[in-house]
Formats: sequence, structure tokens, C-alpha cells
Amino acid sequence: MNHQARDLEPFEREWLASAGRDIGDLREGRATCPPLALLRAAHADALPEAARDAVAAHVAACHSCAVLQADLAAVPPETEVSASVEARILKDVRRKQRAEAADPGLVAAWWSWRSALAATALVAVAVAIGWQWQHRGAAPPGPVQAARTAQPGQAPESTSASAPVQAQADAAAATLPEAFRVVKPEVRLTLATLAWRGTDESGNRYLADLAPALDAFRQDRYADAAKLFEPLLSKYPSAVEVPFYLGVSRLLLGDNAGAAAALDRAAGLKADGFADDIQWYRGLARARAGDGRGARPLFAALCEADGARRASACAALEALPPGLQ
Amino acid sequence: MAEKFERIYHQHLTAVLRFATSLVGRKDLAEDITSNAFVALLRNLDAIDEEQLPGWLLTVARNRARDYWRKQATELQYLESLPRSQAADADAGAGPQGLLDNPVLKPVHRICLTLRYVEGMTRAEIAEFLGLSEMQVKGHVQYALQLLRKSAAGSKAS
Repeated sequence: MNHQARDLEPFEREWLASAGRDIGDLREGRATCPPLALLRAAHADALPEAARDAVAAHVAACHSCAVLQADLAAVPPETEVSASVEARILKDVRRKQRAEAADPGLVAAWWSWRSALAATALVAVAVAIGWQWQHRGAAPPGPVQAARTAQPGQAPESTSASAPVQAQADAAAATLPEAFRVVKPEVRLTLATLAWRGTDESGNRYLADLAPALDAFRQDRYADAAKLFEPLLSKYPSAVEVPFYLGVSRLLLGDNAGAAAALDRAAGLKADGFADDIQWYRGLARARAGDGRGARPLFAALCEADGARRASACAALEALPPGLQ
Repeated sequence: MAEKFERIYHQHLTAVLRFATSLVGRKDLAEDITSNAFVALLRNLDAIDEEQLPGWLLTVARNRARDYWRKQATELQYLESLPRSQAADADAGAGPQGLLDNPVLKPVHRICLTLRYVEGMTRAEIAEFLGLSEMQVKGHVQYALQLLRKSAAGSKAS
């Protein structure tokens, strides 16, 4: 911010010489402020949630940012769209449309994507389910057994299975619409859990049991996290954190059906601030499994509400196959 | 179908492009976001109720902008270091002769002056960021400086 524009004219330099103090004060005052582009994007709700909240908190405490943000909102672009710009953008639209039509993994060929990747998805789910069977003591299917055989002495089997499972999930995810991308949520606890902590031993025990699972989740070790969350479902049947983070872990592993099951269970519990997130990830699990009809009402409710997931849900609704919106 | 799309395209292109410009402040990005919005429209043309336009297109544009900002790690990491409870910099540019609270300045003047003399942007950069022409930016800056000179002269006289 402390540099002069390269094309200053003499009358501007003259003015700056007399107004130097005001400009200097403003520069100094804004040294730790967000760039104006971020102020404007935040006002238009075009920033990711955490960034938007950070800007809002700053603006609430910063006079110059509050004034400038309001000014930016009052100065809408007046871009004149020339014939050449119109033609250029239309040409780009056609090019992207042709690219979508040519690539069966893209949104325009949603149904082609489903059939083309069915085999890949099945393998990913089979490995994930096999890992779960392994945990429950039942005989697992081939892939997990093979992984155990190939890597003797590996501590939790899930980590030997997690790399191929993750790779399969990543391969399947790479062709999904952007609107169905799973963004890992921050780890947080409900107010009830926080209040529970310290009141009695059971509250502290819950947090002690939850901690390793949440650590694995934070470290992107989703297979380990899922393995650690699973036994907590029956031990703490009314705690929403367990099925929620289990569901998201499974989603990130590509186990859309397993994710939906866990998240549906979370939806039946007292959500305490998790309700919108649970609904969002339930919709994602269904959409990524190709169940557009099941996903639609979940996204629609969020799209119509005024919550933090509204924009994402509206985009996801738009990405569903035609006829299911 | 093609006719319907082209009609909608021509009808709403300007609104979408201007909105996209306000979200990202760059001409190339704004055009990319705009074309993506119309690609989404093509994909859903049968299901779209025209009364939902241009709102539907603007929502798509906003989502694409959000995707763009999500990838701007540098800018967003900066936000993590922002002091949340920063004391209001009440004196920074404030006061009747300062930029922020001078009643003679309209928002467009204040923004142009801030971008020009605080952020150090050229007229072309300001024009791209605000979605104005360079001539408009030059005019706003010149007029704003005239207003400030008159305001300062008026204060001295009184």
C-alpha cells in the first residue's frame, strides 16, 4: 500500500504534497486491513465462510474499512459490454459446452459418469466395507485381506487399506461436479458437549474417547478416524459429533452409502448447531452416490433458508441432473 | 433452444458481467465466471423459469467467485492474522478535512482517491477493479480533488 501510482500527473503530485498527512494517516491506519477486493467480496457474500466471518469481524471494529466497504457497495461496476466482449464470452461458453459434452465425466454427461465409474466406485466401496467387516471380526472381502497379507505387521489394518481406498475415492471424486466437492469441516463440539465437560466423569470420558478419533480426522486419516468413531456410536448414542464426523469421514473415503447412514443417524439427534452441516453432507452423500432424487429436498431446504450453506446448496441443486430440480 | 439461450444471453450478459466484476475485480476472471454461469444455464435451460433470471445466474456467479477466493491462499491466510478486535483507527483519514468523513466526497470519489493514493493503483487498474472506464476514473479523481480543495479553502476562510 505504501507506494505511489506510476502514472501520477503534476496536479496530483501537487495535491499530495498538501494532503500528505491525511493520506499518510490513512495508509498507516490501513496497514493491517484487508485489501479492498476482499472487503467488497465479503460484502457480496462471495468469500468462503471463514474468510467472510474474519472480514466481518474486522469491519465491525475498523472505521475506515466500514466506510470503504459501504462505498464499494455504492459504486457498482458500469462495464460497457462491447460487441467484441459479447462475442468473446459467447465463444468461451460454446468451448466449455463442447468440452463438457466431449468428456463423459463432466456434469453435462452425468449419467455417463455414473455408468463409466460404477466399477471404480464399487471397488472403493467394497474396500471400505471390507475394512468395516474387518473391524467387526467378520471375514473381509479380497482387497483388504490382500492388503493385510502384503503388509504384515502394519498396525491398524485400516491404514494399510486407507491409501488405496483414498486413491479410489480421489479418482472417483475427480470427475464429480465442483458443487459436490466435499470440503472437510472444522472440528467443533456442540454446546451440550462443552457444558457436559467438567460436570461429571462421563462428560470427561466422552471427550477422552472422542479425542483420538477427532485427531485422526484433523490429520486427514479418515480410515483411522472412522474406525475410532464406530465403537462410540453405541457407547454414546445421543452424541451428535460421533455419527456426524463418522459420516464425513466415510464421505471422504468415497463410501457414500456408509456416509449417508451415519449422517441420517446424526440427523435424528439433537443437533445443537450442526443441523445445517448434517443436512448438507447428507445431501452430498446422496448426490455423490447418484441419488439425485434423495439429494434434492435436502439441498432445496438449505437453498431456501438463510443459513451459511445456502449458496452451496443452491449450486448443488443447479448441478443435479435436469428434471430432478 | 438455441434461440432461447441467445436471447437470454444477450438480455442478461451485462448484469452478470458487472456483478462478476464486483466480486473479483479482474476483467479476465469476471469474464471467465460469466461464461461459466452461462454454461450452467445451458445445462439447465429446460428446467429454468425465466422469471428466476438474472438472479439464478448471479447465484452461480457468486458461487464461482467463492471457488476462486477459496483458492487464493495468500489473501485468505492474511485474514488469519487480522486482529479481530482492532481498535477503531478513528484518526486515520477521519475528520472534516480527511478523506473518510469529508461530507463533500461521494462514495465513488472516496474509493477512487483511496485506490489511487493509498493503494497506489494506476488509473487503468482502478478502472478494471471498479468496472469503470479510465476516462471516468480520471474524471472522478479530478473532480474529487477540486472538491477537497474547495472544502479546504472554505474551512480556511471561516
